[in-house]
Amino acid sequence: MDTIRRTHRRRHLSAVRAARLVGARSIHRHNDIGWIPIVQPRRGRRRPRTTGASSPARGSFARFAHAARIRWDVQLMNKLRVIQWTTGKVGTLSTRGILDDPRLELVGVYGNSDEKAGTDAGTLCGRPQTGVQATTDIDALIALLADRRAVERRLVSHQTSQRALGVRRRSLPCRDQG
Amino acid sequence: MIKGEPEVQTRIRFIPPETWGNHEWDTMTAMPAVNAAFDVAAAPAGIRTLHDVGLASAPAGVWLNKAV
Repeated sequence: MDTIRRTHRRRHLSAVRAARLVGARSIHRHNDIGWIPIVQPRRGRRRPRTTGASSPARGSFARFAHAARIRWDVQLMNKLRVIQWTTGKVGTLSTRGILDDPRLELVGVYGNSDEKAGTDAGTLCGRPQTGVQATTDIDALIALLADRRAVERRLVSHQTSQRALGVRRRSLPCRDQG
Repeated sequence: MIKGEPEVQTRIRFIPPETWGNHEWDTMTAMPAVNAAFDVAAAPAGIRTLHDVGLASAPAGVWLNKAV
């Protein structure tokens, strides 16, 4: 087996191992056409494999931390695009929280007055410049979240990580609802 | 607090940075909204409660206003 095939097989096996670890039935990747499965874990195993060197044993409290780390990593890879609505007393502090959280990406700020419109979000909350300016145009803010494909990809990844934590399964929102 | 044998009590103290003034305490109000962003975004559309989304509901327990 040449090097390229060996590398591909190693990545494939690691993807299968990760899928079993978090209890996913399949891993999907989105291309320009739609969602395509790239790996199908072994059928018939309803519970993820918990024994092994890579994951804590079942029943161990370390498993919660392990699942939390997986969830954190997944959220880091799929940053949530957030719009901060108003920058008042508490809104200013939540804007700081969004800027400080590596899992969140501030894409827009709604300023509830014309004086705040055009002002940088960092200036409004006492942080360095962010390049995101407050606006009073609600339609423009909603258009910032028009990347529906990215949102769906993030939701699927989030559900996978939730499954690792043992959270009950939730249904995905309908595509038409955005 | 869990009544029973043995009785279990959990006490939480908020220790803010020394630089915090009265206004910075509002961070405690802003934190739940920021931290709930992922769960709220993953929830189905419609009117949902904290229980539906999977978030912790109102804090249950005894709130002590005195410094201990």
